[in-house]
Amino acid sequence: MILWEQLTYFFSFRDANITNVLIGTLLLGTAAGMVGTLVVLSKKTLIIDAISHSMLPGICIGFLLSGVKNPLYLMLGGMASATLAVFLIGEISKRSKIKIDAAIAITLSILFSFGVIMLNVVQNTGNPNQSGLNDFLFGKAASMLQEDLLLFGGLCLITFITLPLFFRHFKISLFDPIFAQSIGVKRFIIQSIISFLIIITAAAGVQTVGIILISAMIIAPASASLLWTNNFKRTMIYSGVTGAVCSIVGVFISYLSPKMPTGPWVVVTLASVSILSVLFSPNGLLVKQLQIRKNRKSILRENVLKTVYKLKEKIIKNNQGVSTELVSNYRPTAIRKVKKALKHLQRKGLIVKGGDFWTLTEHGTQEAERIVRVHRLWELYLQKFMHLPSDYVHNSAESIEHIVTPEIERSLEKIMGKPELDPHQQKIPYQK
Amino acid sequence: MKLNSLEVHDLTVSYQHNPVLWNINFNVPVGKLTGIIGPNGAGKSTLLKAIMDLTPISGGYTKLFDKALDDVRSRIAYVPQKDAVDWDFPATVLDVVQMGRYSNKSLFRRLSKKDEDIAIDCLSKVEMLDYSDRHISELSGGQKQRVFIARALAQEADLYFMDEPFAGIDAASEKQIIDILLQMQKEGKSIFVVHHDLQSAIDYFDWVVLVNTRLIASGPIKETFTTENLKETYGGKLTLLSKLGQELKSKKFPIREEYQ
Repeated sequence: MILWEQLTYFFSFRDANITNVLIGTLLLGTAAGMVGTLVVLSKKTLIIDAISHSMLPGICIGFLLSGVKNPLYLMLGGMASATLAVFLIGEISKRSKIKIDAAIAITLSILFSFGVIMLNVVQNTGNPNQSGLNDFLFGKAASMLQEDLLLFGGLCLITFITLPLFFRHFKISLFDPIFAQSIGVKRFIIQSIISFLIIITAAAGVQTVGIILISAMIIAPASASLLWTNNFKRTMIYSGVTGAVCSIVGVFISYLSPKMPTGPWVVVTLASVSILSVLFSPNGLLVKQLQIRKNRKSILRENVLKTVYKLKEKIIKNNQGVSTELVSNYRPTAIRKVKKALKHLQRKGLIVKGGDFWTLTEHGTQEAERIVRVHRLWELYLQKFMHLPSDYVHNSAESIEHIVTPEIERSLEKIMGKPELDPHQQKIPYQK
Repeated sequence: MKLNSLEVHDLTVSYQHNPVLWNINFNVPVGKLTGIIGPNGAGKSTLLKAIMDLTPISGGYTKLFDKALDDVRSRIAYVPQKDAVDWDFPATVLDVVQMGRYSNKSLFRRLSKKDEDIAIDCLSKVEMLDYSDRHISELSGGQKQRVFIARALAQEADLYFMDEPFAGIDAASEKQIIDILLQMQKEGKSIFVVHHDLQSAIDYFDWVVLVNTRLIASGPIKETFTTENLKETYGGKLTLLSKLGQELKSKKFPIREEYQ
């Protein structure tokens, strides 16, 4: 009940401080999610960590120079040192044998260590304003004031204007940079705009989620969204919405216990969404697993049906049908599963039970004959076109028979003609 | 004198001081279907990239329709190798073909109805209309290449550069693409194709440029595609040139004097 009261109070906009935090978080989450799409698709996710971590020395210098905790100076300082990091990474990887990933790691660790040292220096200056400066490491959304909101909101607004304006530039440059250059798009300019957007988003995010975790806030929404859609624009929209919703949830959780930093909660929320996406998205793990199970079941059913047919063809000469035990003897699967498959075939009207014996219905006979026909035709095909000896063709046909579509079956029949016998001299059943 | 579609004058390109193209000179008249032929690592793709200003050059210049690239860019279409892009990118077949309707200036605007119609029309020319809503990762190699050709057709250019359009595709797609190229040639387009299969070259092209770091020959296929020229093209690099290239690379020496 208390939770509910806190929830309604939090979202009631009655408290000016909370309203600031809410608007700020909403803008930031959206901007980070959308910019993240560009970063993930340009496969430069590592560079975000370098950008955010290297903001620390700049923030400290901004504080030392101004002597006050004015967010404007701190952000300008942070953006300056982040720009320096991007420049350094580019130059190191271009001018030396050091590859880009190593260049990122080197720049990140050097600038961040330098920042931590400076943070210590600042904290020992005795300047009373410095308290709260280390909130920049993990973020403290609750400390956002009206003037902070104006600054961070302004940075997000730049993103919201730039993204639609250069939307098509981004799309063609990210998909096919060489083609984009060939129609006259300047690669360096587009890359610089993307770097600029990352820097201002990271700068806008440090107060809310902190230097260390801002990269997750940029990368996670886009990575999750890419699992749900095949459209560039929609990826960006989903990513923005995911970023906004998860940030607000994270901020609310950290509001419940004011001693906790905001960043980790936002990231934990985002991580949950990402994990759910990996499992449940259209190409996700769960869907794949279900497909595998479905395939396994349908193969078993078709094999059981085929066994009933073959037993009748070869072994049982009377008309009484076959028992469950007999079918099971000819299938390597557990009898429990064979029983289930037989029941399913019965429900589908492919077989009927008389006493203890199963017999094929007309529909069942047709279906069984189709499977046997495909199997035997495929064996012939392998023998003729892949020059396989007849004792090598059975295993391949055993799995192929379950996947052949009516269309492929027709072409197979057309290519092979209507041969009477398969490579093992068994009769191939055709539809009358 | 007949107008040249492409004029390459003393073109030299090096990667990290190692020359990959030395003093290339040739002209090709308008309206030819030209094969750029040579062994692996001969600099064929680099030649196209240098012409399209996609890679820095160390010396020389090129002209397209007797003009600089920037003056005629809208008349030129370039088709990269299909492996050069990320086919997992969130885009449909139609999205990719519509990219052909963008020019550097029109990128700030939405596509018009007319642009969309042209894209659809080009998709049907390569017989990929049924696939227009498919995600690009679902295509086979040949289909990917046809989508690229459709995008180039949508550019409605007069000159086409295609980097290895026949690499890694099935025979049916190859036949279909060559038919499209012949049709384009009939409409007066000039086409340059980087190619490495000698067997088919003689059937496909009416002009060839033979390169292996240096230019071996350029001209009408009947006169140029001779056993002697091919032997020279595929007979390896000139040892002296390679040695000098190594020297330039190890000493970071410029291949042309750099003026400060």
